[in-house]
Order: sequence, then C-alpha cells, then structure tokens
Amino acid sequence: MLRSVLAATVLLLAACPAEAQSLPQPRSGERASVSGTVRDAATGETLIQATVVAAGTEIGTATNSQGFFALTGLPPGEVALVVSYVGYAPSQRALTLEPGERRRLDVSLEPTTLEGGEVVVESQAPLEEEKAVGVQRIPMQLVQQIPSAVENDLFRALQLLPGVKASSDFSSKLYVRGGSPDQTLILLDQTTVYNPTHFFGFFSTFNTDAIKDVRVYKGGYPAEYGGRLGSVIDVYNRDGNRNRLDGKASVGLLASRVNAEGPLRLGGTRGSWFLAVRRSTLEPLLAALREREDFIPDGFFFYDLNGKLNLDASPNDRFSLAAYAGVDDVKFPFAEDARFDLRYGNQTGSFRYTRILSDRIFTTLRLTGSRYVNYPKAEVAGVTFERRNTINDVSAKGDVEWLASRAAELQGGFWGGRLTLRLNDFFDERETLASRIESDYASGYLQAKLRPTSALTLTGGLRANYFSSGDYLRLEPRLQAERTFGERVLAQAAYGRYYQFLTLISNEAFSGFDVWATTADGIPPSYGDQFILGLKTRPLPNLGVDVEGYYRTLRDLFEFDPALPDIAGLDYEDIFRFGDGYATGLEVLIERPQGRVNGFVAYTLALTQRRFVGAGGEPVNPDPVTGEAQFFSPKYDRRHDLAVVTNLELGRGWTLTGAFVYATGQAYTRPTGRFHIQVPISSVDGDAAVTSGLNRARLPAYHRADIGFTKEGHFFGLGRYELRLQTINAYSRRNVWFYQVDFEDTPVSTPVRMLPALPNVSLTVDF
Amino acid sequence: MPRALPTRALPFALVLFLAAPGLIVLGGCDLAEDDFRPELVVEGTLTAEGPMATIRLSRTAPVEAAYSFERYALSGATVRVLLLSDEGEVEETFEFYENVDVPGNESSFPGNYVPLSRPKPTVLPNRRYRLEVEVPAAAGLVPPGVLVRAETTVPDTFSIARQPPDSLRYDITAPSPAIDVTPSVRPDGQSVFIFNVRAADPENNPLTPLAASFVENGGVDPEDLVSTSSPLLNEANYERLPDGNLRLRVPWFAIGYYGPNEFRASVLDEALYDFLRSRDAQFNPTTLSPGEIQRVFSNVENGVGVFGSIARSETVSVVIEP
Repeated sequence: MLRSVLAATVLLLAACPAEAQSLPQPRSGERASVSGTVRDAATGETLIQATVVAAGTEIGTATNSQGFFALTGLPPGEVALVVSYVGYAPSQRALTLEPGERRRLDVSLEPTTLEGGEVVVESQAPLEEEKAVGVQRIPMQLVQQIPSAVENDLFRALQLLPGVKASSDFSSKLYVRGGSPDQTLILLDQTTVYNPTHFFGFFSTFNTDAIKDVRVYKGGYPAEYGGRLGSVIDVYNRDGNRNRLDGKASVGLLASRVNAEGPLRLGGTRGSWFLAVRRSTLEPLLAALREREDFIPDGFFFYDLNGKLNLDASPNDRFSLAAYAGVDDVKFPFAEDARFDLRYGNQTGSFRYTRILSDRIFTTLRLTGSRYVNYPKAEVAGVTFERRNTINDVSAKGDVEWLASRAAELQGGFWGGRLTLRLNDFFDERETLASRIESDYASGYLQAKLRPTSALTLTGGLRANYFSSGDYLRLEPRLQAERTFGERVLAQAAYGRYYQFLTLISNEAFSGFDVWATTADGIPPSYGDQFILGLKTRPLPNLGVDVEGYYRTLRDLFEFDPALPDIAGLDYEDIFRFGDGYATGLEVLIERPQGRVNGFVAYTLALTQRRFVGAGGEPVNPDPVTGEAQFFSPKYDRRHDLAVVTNLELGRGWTLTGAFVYATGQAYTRPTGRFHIQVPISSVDGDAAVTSGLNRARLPAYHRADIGFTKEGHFFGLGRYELRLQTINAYSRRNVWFYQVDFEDTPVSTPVRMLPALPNVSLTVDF
Repeated sequence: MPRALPTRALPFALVLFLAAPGLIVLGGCDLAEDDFRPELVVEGTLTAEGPMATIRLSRTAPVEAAYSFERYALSGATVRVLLLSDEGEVEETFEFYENVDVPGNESSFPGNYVPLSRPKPTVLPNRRYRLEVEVPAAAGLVPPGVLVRAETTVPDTFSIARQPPDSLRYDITAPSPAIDVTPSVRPDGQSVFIFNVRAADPENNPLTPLAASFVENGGVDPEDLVSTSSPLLNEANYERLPDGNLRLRVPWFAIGYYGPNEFRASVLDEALYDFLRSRDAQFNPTTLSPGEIQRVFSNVENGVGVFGSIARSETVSVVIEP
C-alpha cells in the first residue's frame, strides 16, 4: 500500500511542470496576475484565509498565514476582484489589467457591524478555498462569546466542533478523531507548545484577546506539518494595531486581562506592537474558602503574557518577534509539617522573516524556541520529594511558496532543531532518577497543488522526518483530490501517513505533572494512515452543510505503563507499554456563519479502539480464551456527539449565545466482583476488583446547556464596553465523570459528578 | 437567490456517503457488559526461611455484596505445594489439609489450608515452589478435572547490617533514620522492596505531629496509622554502599507513633510484585483515566489471587519525642 502511494506521489510531483504546461491556457505573456496582502481596515492586521476571487470567473484563492495572496491566470482587460472574509464587508476592486501585467494590490476590509440591522454578507469564496479537507475554522468572535467557566477559552470552543471531543468538564484537552491529546500538534505562531493548559488542564493557555486566527487540521493535514499522528492546531497571535494606539481591559470574577497595541515607527519603517497580560484573581475566593474549609491552597495563581513586534522593512520584507510566557503556581500546605508546591508553565519565542521574492514567490524563515518546565515539590515531615522536568526545543524553519500558475502551485520547506528533555527526581534530597534525552530532528517537505481542470484539484506531498533518538528516518506521503460540482458542491478524498516520535505521560484530570518521552533504540516511532472522504456543500449563500468520514490506523503506539509503580533503575524501553488501534467516524457540520442568527450544529459518529501489551509482556485486556490482547475503548470513546451553538443578535447591543451539548456515555470499567488478599506485610492487605473486561460499560449520557448574554455599548463616552453575563450548565445537570469504587463503602460504587450551574460575569472596556 | 443543488452531484454524493467508512464500520449501540461469574481466589505468600505458609481459598464475591472471607471460603479442596528443582522436576511434595473446627485455634476456619507435616517445613530461598489445588466439582469454579496452579520463586534472604540506634529522637530537621541491609540477590534484575513501620505500643504512646495533624484535620482513623507501608520501591532508589550493602532511609513521616516501632523491609518475588502493582493501579491510577480499572495480574492459572513469596528482615527502635 505504502509503496503504491509513494509511487503515486512521486509521479504526481514529477508530472507537475508537465501538467502545468499542458493546460490549454494562453502563453504566460498574455495572462496577468494580482498579488498583495489583505488587512483589517481598522487595525491593519493581516487576515488569514481571506478569499480573493475574480468575479465571473472560476479563478480564486485565499491568503496564506501572512495574509498574502497571488491570483494568477487572469485575463487581461477589465477584471473585478472580490475580496471577502467572515465578519468583514467584502471589497470589490475594478481593475484594468494589461497582458502579462503583474499588479500589486493590498486590500483592507472593513469589519461589519450588526448594530442597527442585519447585514448578510454572502461568501464569494470558492468552496475549495474555504473548505479544505479535514480543516475547521472557528471565528474568534464566536470563541469569545461562547459561555465558559472562569475564562473564555479557545480549546473549550474547539471541543464543540465535530470530531473534537472533551473528556470531562474539568479538562480542556483535545481528543481529535480518536486520538489522544498528544497526537495533536499545538503551534503558537508556528512554535510548538508542549503543555497548552492553565489551572492543571481546566482551560488552555491561549488568551483569546491575543489570538488573531486559529486553524484546526483535524486530520489529513498537509505535508507542511508533521510530527504528530493526528491533527494540528495552528494558532496565530495578533500583530497589533498598525493605525492607532488601542487597548482593552477586562475584569472577571476569577481572572482579569489587559492588552495594548499600537503602531510602531522605526526610521522610515512601519510596523505594530501588541502586548496582552492575563492573571487569575482567585486570591479573594481562596481566602474566603480557607475560613470555612480545610485543605484550601495557601496560594494559587496563573498568568500569561503574549507580546509581538512587527516591522515592515519594505513592502516585501517583514520582520516579526513574538513571545509567550505562562505560569501556574500553587502552594498547598495540607497538614502539619506537610506541604505541596507546584509550578509549571511554558515559554515560547519566535523570530520570523518574511520576504516576498516576487509576485508569485513567498518565503518565510523562522527561528523558534519553546521551553516547558514543571517543578512539583512535596515536603512531608522534613522529607522532600522533588521533580525537575524541563523541555527545551530550539528550531529553524523555512518555507517557500511558489504560486507558479493557476494550474500549479509548489511549496517546500524544512524544519530542524534540537529537543532536550530532562527529568530528575529527588527523594530526601537524593537523586533517584536522572534522565536526559537529547535528540536532533530534521524534516523537509515538498508539496504540489495541481489543477488539471477547473473542477479538479490534486495535491500531493512528501515529507521526510529524521529523529536522532533511535536514529529513525521516515517518509510521509500525502495525497488529496478535490472535485467541484458546480459552485455549491465539493467532493474530497485524502490519504496521508503520519509519524510521531514523542509520547505524553499525563493524566486526564490533571495536566500539572505532564512529562514527554521520545522514541529510542527499540522504541520505534508511532505511525498511522489516514483516509478521509468529504462532501462540502453550500445549499444557500449563508448556509454550509459539510460531511466528512475518516478511518485512521494507530500503529506502534508507545505510552507509559500505568501499572509500573516505580521506574527507578529500569531500562528506558521497559517503562512503556506498546500497542495499536484504529479510529473511524463520520462528522456533519451545518453552519450559518453570518446573520442575526448564526452558529452551527455539529454531529459526530465515532469509534476508537486500542489494545496494548504491558511492559512486563502482560496483555492489558486479554481475551478470556486465547489470552491475547484485545481491543478496548479508551474512556473518551463516545459513539454520538451533538453540539448546537447559536448566536442571536437581540438589538440595542445585546447578543444571546447558547451552546448545547449532548453526548452518549463514555467508556468505563464496571467491577463485577471483589476479593480480599492477605499478605504477610502489614497494611498491604487489601481488596481487589474483578472486572469482566476493560471499559466495557458506559456512563450515562452527558448533556449541558450554556447560556450567555453580551451587552456592547459606550462607556460614558470614554470608550466601548462589553458586559458578559453567562451561566455554564444552565439547568445544572450533574453529569457523571466516573464511578468511585471504595470497598469500605456501601454502595461500593458511587458517582463522582461534574460541574453544577456556574455563573460568570466579566466586563471589558476599550481604552 | 440561492441556486439549487446540481442534480448531477447527487448520485456522487450518495455513493460517497454509502462508501464512508463510518457508516460501514460503526454500530450505533454500545457494548454490553458480561455478568458476574464467581472465580476461585488463592492467597498464599511464602516467606524465605520461614515456616510453610497457610493457603487460603475462597470465591470472588459480587461487587456490591457484604464481604467476609468466611462467607466466601472454599471448603473441600485438595491442596499441595511442590518444591521444584532447577529443571522443573518435583523434588518434594507438601500436602495440606483444611484446618477447620479446631477449638481454640484462631486460624481454624473453612478455607484455611495448612501443611500436614509437623513441624511445618521451612521455605527455602532462591527455590521454586508450585501450588496445586483440586477444586471440588460441586463448587462450579473450574471445569471438572482442571487443576488450579501457580508458581513462585522465593527471593534471596538478606539481613540488617546496621540498624538505627535503639533510641531514636524524632527530629524532622535531621536526616531520616538509615538502615543498611545486605543485598537480596536477584539474577534477573533488581529487587523490589516494601518498607513497613509498625508501632509496637500505640495504646501507651502519642501520635507524632504529622500523624496527629492527619487525625485532627484529615479525619484519619488513628488505627490506620499504627502500621504504615511504603509503595513498591525499586532497589535503585536506595544508596549502594561501597561494601555492596544498601542504605534504606526511613522517612520521618512513616512513623505514626512514638515509642517502640518495628522497622521491616521486605523483598518481593515477581508474582507478588505483579499482583500488588496491578492492584494498586486499580484504585490509585497515575496516567489512567478515572474509572478505567485495569485487571489484576495474577499468577494463578484458572483462578485469581496470588501465590507469591517474600524475604524480610526487621529491627526495633524506640522513637522518642523531641
């Protein structure tokens, strides 16, 4: 299978120039092209995935991650270019192009306002530009309006999309298309983020005020990306207002935010800056709780900081410097002479140089650094347990996009760096575990997008990955085919192979101890094949109905063996269990992106199965007859998920946002029997549970409705304000998280429930 | 005015949907769970250089049943333990009998099987023993004629080379008490320890400050602090001394009561190690999702439980208040 796919990829790549030349098009001198950047007219921010279409033709494209576009193959003469982006008024430019002309055109779009009446903006974008296979976009405005506990959260919003699941109310981790959270590559300004959580996983690190755009590749992601088995979350922070000084302050019950931005002038060059700071404000709540309850932390806070500097050295040369830092810190004295402290967080930094080499060639060079630390320390009666866990990842990354013609686009690039993982455990100030893994990694890719006919688009790519820990070189072919049927129907098929050299040692309920591990000698990388079929339709101008089906394999999975009580002195390969699995599903998305009533309905039908053999060779879920490992459902495997998200403009600045979620029960293990064992070691005696198979039972169905009101207006003439009144779990359904089993209780099994109704209030003021 | 869906796209769409793997592979219903079926439970732990252990046999109970060993004890079984040679041949057979209805003998109750020979045979270190149980057919736990079997290799003995002083002042600012032990040699890897501290006279001595705090603020039963045990700890956690001995540190928090305390180190065989680590993972999961209860690893063929072995050594010190 792999061999034939590789052959097809090579043929496709080799055929690229020939295909481009064989198209029945005029000589290049007769056709014109237009390239440039699309920006927000108010702030000067570049817009990602804005669409640019030549009206009355099938020629269209979308801006790349830098807001750049190149529209080629335009007929000379009068051309009307329509530039559109969700949430902005479309812009139409009438151009007269000379034969062979290469016109530079930078476009600014005005944000639309719904105050005073409905404005429906019909998307002009060709379906194939707007609806790439496996890709999902979610407007940041909607992310900010979806009701949430504590803070608006990007990942909580993503959990509402089809194919993206949450494990519980307490976790913002993303389970995408049957993959565990470590199978999703999280990028912030193209820099890997290793622990994207605050509050031990309750919500994500990303400050929604700072985010410009997010792209979710749920599967079948292109050769441009690599390193994870399943999916990519590509987050881009805002560049800052290039036109005027601006700011915003937000006060919430449990966290507050402030950000400022403005133009940057350096000599004759222009640019922008952006700074956003967020900090929890839990101290008053903790102080009140300490007066009534035991075991409340002495202190807990988190903060994060996002900053960015952008400078346009020339119309074709842009520099950018971005940084992120986030920390969670808890101090918890839990008894006399006993305390637990934990500090964890991420820091990322990136330098980006973008050069537009010509109207058709766009290059980007990035230097990135990512650091993750996690320092838990417990001190009990003078005895300390301490862990020092750090990850340092420095890399260089380069990409070239060559928009050769309407019929052929080429893209290539590299990504290489050094990953250093250190893990040191200390007991009573003596080091009991010292691990340092240093691995160089390098990857390169080549991708070609061909349009043999106006209705058919073929994309082929090949990515090569090298990982020095274990000395692994792996090739990843990727193929996509898209066929339009008129302007409103798009059929898609995709295949890709994906490798992963890392695994995450974590816990669903608590991300504060996350540890990453890598491949090594005897631990080959995990890999999987993904097959996707999609049908995207636009039956009405402001209505999309999308369906995607997928099947993916999971092979050579390696993860920490949970039955190992102590890893001191063990060989590295002896701490993992190994296995495989598969996931398949069908996703339906019905969306109305704009209008007074907008939102989406997302439905997912899914199945995920895994099987493992433990570090000691014991099957995790043995077949009762053969004794061999058999497949089981991981906890997050749910058969049906439904999410309904609606935004209703009520007028006078009021908006009502509602989100309803229904999901069939998650998998869990129901003990069927029990026994007691006496061991001649005092206090080691105890009960054990007998199960009839791993995760064969199902929790009750989960459902929840969140409701929020947003009021926008002017704050005593000083600026705009936004008041949010929200309730999570409005009808306070106490969904079951899991069943706690305690053989000393009656009944033995009792439900542990998730969040009740939770109100949340925040006030944001622009200044 | 919206345009109609092109009709020529419809057949393709239908084919696509029908071909979608999700519709073919997925079923709408969730898995059903098997009902409870009673199984034979084996309990037996040999101690190196100790007398041959008692073997207890019982049935598993339904999960919500009120449990006591007596209620689920299994009577009428035939039990024997075999001493095996390095080649796996039977060198010696020890027959067991069910110790029931012996007035005044507190270990006399159904399901309790003790060695027939007196004095009880001594368990040899570094030797392999096999347990064989013939279960009465009426019990319905195993098919007729099927033997229940389990094997253990008894760990090497070790001894305390240097013990803490007879009187030990409780001082959490000072280094933890140290006990040096000779190594328990294990040819296929490192030894696994459990360290246990047991208050010998809790009625007449106060709780240590940390233990008192757990009782007062955490609702812990003082009875639960009489004996405390470490988790399973690999030998690599301990300092290897130049003479080859291991220095075990007893953390202060392991001492629940002042007064005389027994400090005991135990080395586990593979079967007991597997059983205990898997049982601990059932209710103290580290990386497992809550509610994902793994099975218990058992070396018992055609049953559950464990037939394992330990080697141990102990010493006593009096812990005095600071």
